[in-house]
This record gives sequence, structure tokens and C-alpha cells, in this order.
Amino acid sequence: MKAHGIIERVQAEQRSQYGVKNHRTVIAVTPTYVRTFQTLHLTGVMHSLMNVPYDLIWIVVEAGPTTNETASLISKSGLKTIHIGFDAKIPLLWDDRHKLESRMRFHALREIREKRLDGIVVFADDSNMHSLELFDEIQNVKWVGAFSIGIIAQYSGDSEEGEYTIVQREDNSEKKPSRLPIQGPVCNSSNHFVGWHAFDKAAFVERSARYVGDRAVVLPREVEWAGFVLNSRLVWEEEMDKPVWAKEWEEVAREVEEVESPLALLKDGSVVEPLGGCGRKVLLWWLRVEARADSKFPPRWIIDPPLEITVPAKRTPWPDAPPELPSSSEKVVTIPEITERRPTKNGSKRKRSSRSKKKQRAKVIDEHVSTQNSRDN
Amino acid sequence: MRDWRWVFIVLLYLAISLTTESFEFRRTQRTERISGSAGDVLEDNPIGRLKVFIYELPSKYNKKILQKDPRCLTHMFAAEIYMHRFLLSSPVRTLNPEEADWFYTPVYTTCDLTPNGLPLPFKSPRMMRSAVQLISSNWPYWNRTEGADHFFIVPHDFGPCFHYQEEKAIERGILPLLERATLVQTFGQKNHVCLKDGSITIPPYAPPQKMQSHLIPPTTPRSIFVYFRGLFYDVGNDPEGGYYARGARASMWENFKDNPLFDISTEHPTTYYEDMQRAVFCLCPLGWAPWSPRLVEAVIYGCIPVIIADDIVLPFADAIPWEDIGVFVAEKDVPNLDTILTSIHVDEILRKQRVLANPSMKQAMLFPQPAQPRDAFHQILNGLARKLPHGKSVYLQSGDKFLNWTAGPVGDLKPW
Repeated sequence: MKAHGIIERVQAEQRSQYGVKNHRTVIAVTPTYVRTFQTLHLTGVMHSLMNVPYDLIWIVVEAGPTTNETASLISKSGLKTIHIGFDAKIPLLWDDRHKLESRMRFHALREIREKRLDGIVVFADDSNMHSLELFDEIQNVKWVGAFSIGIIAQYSGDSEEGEYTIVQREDNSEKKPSRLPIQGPVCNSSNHFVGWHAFDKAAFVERSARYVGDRAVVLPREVEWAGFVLNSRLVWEEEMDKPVWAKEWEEVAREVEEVESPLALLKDGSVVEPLGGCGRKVLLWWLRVEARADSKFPPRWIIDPPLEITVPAKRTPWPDAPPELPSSSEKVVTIPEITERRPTKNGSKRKRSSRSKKKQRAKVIDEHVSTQNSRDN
Repeated sequence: MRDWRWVFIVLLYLAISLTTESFEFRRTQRTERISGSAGDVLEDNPIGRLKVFIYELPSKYNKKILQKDPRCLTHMFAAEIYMHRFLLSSPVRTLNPEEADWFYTPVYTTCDLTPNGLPLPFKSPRMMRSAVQLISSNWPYWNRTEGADHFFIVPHDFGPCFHYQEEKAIERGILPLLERATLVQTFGQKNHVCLKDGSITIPPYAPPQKMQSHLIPPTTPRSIFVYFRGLFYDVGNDPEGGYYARGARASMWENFKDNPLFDISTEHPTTYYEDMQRAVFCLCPLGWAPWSPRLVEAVIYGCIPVIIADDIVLPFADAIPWEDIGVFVAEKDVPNLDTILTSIHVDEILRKQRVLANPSMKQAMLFPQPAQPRDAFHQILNGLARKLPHGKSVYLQSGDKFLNWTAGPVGDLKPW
């Protein structure tokens, strides 16, 4: 339609005039593996990435060899994807899983290094929720940026205490810890980066999840990869402009087991650039939710062979059976309802307005409208 | 600028434009220069080019009226009050009437409001007449020219005809005493009794702070194709339909109420200003009078105005090239509005948006307090300055008398 073409062009012009100038490619790194909730999580990330208005490369690192399941999922995105496998199986304990994911992300960084991909690296874990503002904000990063992430660790399973149990902690602590479920950089009054705000886990530790599929809440570690972004040139080989505080790749790769966050790539943690209004804006929500370890789901969520009937329907409308009278009269009644609803979109709203003049008009216009309808019918 | 070919082409364009006196444009990324029939005059500074003397009228003509109803400061006719305030402290003001080029009479004729806030014009002719009688008897300057070097602000529906109903306004015609004066009014229509030659058309008043406070980020994509909020039928005053807006608004509604590209309704949402900033086209059809604050709102919010008012004369028409900014649709073509708007080439649309984005354009539509350079106050002064120096016909020769002091309806002659 011509009008939509016009609107497209107008919006493109708006973006080029007022949007971020000189935007860089976004390189999203997502570790994943096939399990019940994979489709749920990956679809969420996929849709977020599909809405990013910049060029994007999506690196999906899959634990175990690459599977068709994952491949078919990510191919629906229409994005430029790099699907690489990582030779390991996802362990059952969360601690071990976090460690493996770190190694998988590091593997993705190696891929970026080898292919010399240029852009801003974002760690888009497959169960996190990303705001689109994040992708606009990270365009401002020079080398390493950090922003605040919200931790979704509300515990709602237990019947005894459905709320935060931090109340118990009050007598133990001298200094009241911040209760905000946020992990991110903190600045002083002159907007200089001075430190980190970590999520206070102490209240949860007794009841946090230990293995994947555990009913309890999953806690983040001290520093999560998701809260950082990197300039991909930081991991390039022989990059002239690399700052002095960047560690050598080989040095980090040797101790890959110790790599817990992108901070491992830096000699000096203070060079991190705080983003999002100096950490005042939460740009991403961190969540880990998995199905029970023994849950089963059909491969690719395609039901084959067809399901057997578990509960017979009371009235199944078979095509050869004649329609019963009460059900057909129902159908007749709905049709005029639908047609009436459309034109009185404005009429019903007018009735609600308070000005007396408008009420008069509403009556006459409804007449206009309904006479039209009667003519149509 | 390493592209020599581009430079050559620009030079070629400049050469051609200088010889053919065509519209000169500068390839700035965001905005385009505005050049009207009077030339590149939006940027002109009137200070130093004219002197205005303000008559001291008793406060019953201005201050007392405003005290009775402060709503006059916010309605669309408030220009008459703000112009007075601006002139009082402007450098163009002179306290010496002998050196004045123009004489201003501060009389607020549009401040007698109904409980609903609509101005009643019934006493305005008498009020204006009373003011003119005062200045002609207390100062010699009126009689010197019979008002030809005087200007008046008459922002009401049909300006100096002082009536809200067009038929009655035409019947009355321009107040006889103002026949020689320069009128500054919002009403403008070609070949109409209520617009005389040499008048200055101005935009209706729109509160600048209120409009600023509703700005949204310019990155917000414009996703509405056509936007309009307002009446389509005026059942109270035109129950049968057909008179209000000469049927143009009714035609808009009937033709496009189901068209998904047209976001039109009579609702007045709280996000009205924000919605205009998300629209590509904003309809500005005539109502009982051809002008409306919608035009000002559309310009401020960068929405291309679609003007549906035959023969309308738009604000500062000699300074602003409205054809380059808005789209003009004849009232009879309203049923084809969708085809007309979709067949505009997209480059043309982008160009119009660029002109609209020019801050001078937006500034010229507003009456900010305190006044700012190139705002509507200054454009009015520019318009007055362009009429200088006064021609010989302005000054009466001995024995000349043009004005008929007893002309007009008998009711007008009663003292105010």
C-alpha cells in the first residue's frame, strides 16, 4: 500500500536524522541447549533481537553438538546467525552450569576473535528479558560498559512465606544492605564509576535452587555476564588501538576455568564505563527458569503421532451431524453484534464524554450511523 | 567536501537560481530555508525599522476587561492582549508620537466571554467605535490620516466584521471607521468582505509553554498517516447539516470514518498533542470560519497540515511559502483525500517535513512571553515595516474626508 510505503520512508528518515549516528553492529552471544524451556526462552530473545534497529549478528553457542532443533528455531529469526557447538553436556547443578556457560561465552569470544567480527558484544542469555533501550544505550560504549540488570528472583513457591524473607536479617546486620534486586555499576555524585551494587543473596541462600529443574529460585552469581558489553576489538588479535589495561588473550585463555565475567579480560576493573544513566536505568532483567529435569516435550514441539484423546469432549461438532437448534440461534445473534461494534467505535466513546454539547451530537450521529447500517444489511 | 562533482552541481544550481530568481535552497541535512513572496523575510529583525506609538486608553478598554475574565489570556484570541504587552516594552515603542510610523490602540474587543468561553461580538463594534472617538478627539493623529497609519488587532472569527456567523459578518462588513486602518487579524479569505487589502493575517494564539510541555522525542516514529480531532457536525447550530464547514467536515467523516489510515474522531484525548507528533498528515479543515489553531499545532509538531478551506489566506502569507509546507485540498475534492495524499511523492513529503522542522517556521507561529526573536510578534512588526514608508495617500489633503462616522447599523452608534 502506498501509504505504508510513505510511512516507512518517513520513519527511516526520522531514524537517520534523530537516531543514533554511526551505529555499530550488535553481536549477541547466547549460550543454549535443547530442553523443554528452550523454545520459550530462545523465542523471547529472538524477538527482542529481531526488533533491534541496528545490524546484528547472533552467535548461538549450543552445548553438545549443534542440533537441528536449535537450528530450525533460530533460522526463523531472519537474522544473521552463527551457530556453533560446544563439546560438553549441560550439568545438573546450577553452579556447574553457570561455569559451563561462562566457558561457552568465552568460546563465542574466540569465534569473534578468529573471524574479526566488528561491533558491540552483548551477552543475551536465552532466558533473560531485554529492553530495546539497551541496544540504543550500548552504542555509546567505547571499550567495556556495564549497566544495571534487574534480578528476577522473587520466590513465590513456598506457602509459608510468600514474600521476601529479608525481614529476618534485620537483627543480624549492622549496615542495612540494599534490598533492591539489582546488579550494576554505581557512580558517585560527579558521575564517576566507583563500584558495584551486587544482589543481596543472603536471604535466599538457604532456599535457592541447586540443580536444574529445582523448584526453588535460581540466584545469580556476584557478577553476571549479562550486565556487560564489550567492544569486539578488545578480543581481536593484533589490534593497535587496544588499551593498555586489556589483558592478552592467551593469558586469559590459559585460565579459562577462572573466567567468570568479562572483567577477567581487564587488568584494571576501574576502566568500566557505566551506561544507562550511570547505572540508574535497568536495561535488562535476569531470570533463570527451567522445567523439571524429567519433563518431556515433543521434538521441535511438533505433535507426531497425533495425540490420543485423554478427555472426550461433551459435544464434538462432527460435520455429518445436523446442528442442534440452540447452537444455531446463538450464531445468528452474534453477527449483528460484530457489525454494530465497528462503526460505533466513536459513538460509544462520545456517550461517555461529559460535555453536554457532545451528548446531543452523539445521539444524532448514532442515528446517522445506524441508518447506514440498516441500509447495508 | 571531497566530492568536486557535487560542488560543481551546487554552483550550477546557484547560478541558475540567481538568474531565474527561483526558490533558493541550502542543502542542510535537517531543514530547508523558507522564502515567501516577500523574500527571505522570516529572519528579518524589525527593531530599528519602525516606530510605534501606543495610545494611553482608560483601563476600561483593556485592563478592566481582562480583570473581569482572565480566560482571555489563554483562549485562541489572546494575541490582542499579548501584542499590547509586547509593544509596551518593545524597543520599537516610541513615547513621541511625532516620530511614530504606526499608531496602536490597545482595545480588547474579544474579551466579552460567555460562560463557555466563547467571545460575544455584540458589543465589540461599539467598543471599537468608542475607542476611535476617544483617540480622534484627544490626539490629532487620527484625523491627520483618518486612521491610515493606525493598526488594530482584531483576532475574532471574522475579524473586523465583528460577528461569528458568516452571513451576518458579511452583512455588517468591516467596521466603517476602520476602513483606512491596517488590520491585524486571524481571519483570511480571498475576495471576502472581511479581509481588506493590506491586512496582516496572523496565527491564532496557542499557549507556547503548554505546547512545549507536550513534546515527545523526535525519534518516536510517525505511524499515523492522517490525524484529526474535532467536530464533523455542529448539531447545536446546524442541525440539518450542510452549513457547518460547508459540508466539508461531514464529507470527511462519511468518507473516511472506516479507513484505517485515517485516525479521525470527535474525541479530545489527553494525548492530542503527542498524537500529532506521531502523525504524517494533520487535517485542518474549515469550521464556521476558515482558520483554526490546528494549523499552529500542526506546524509546531511537525505534522504536514492538509488545508481544506477554499481561498483561505494563511498567516504571514507573504513571508511563509505555505504551498511548500502544507497540502491544499479543495473542499469538493474531500472524497478523494486518500488518493490525493497517497499520490504525493515521498520525496515531496520529506521535503515538507524538513521545512516544517525549521525552527524559524515554528517560532513564527508562536507568541512566547517574553517575546523572542522571529516570533509572531516580530513577524507582525515585519509586516508593518514592509508597508513603510507610508504613501502619499495616507495623509489627508485639506478638505479630504473618507470616513463616514454615521455609517453602519444603528445599534453600533450607541455609546459604549
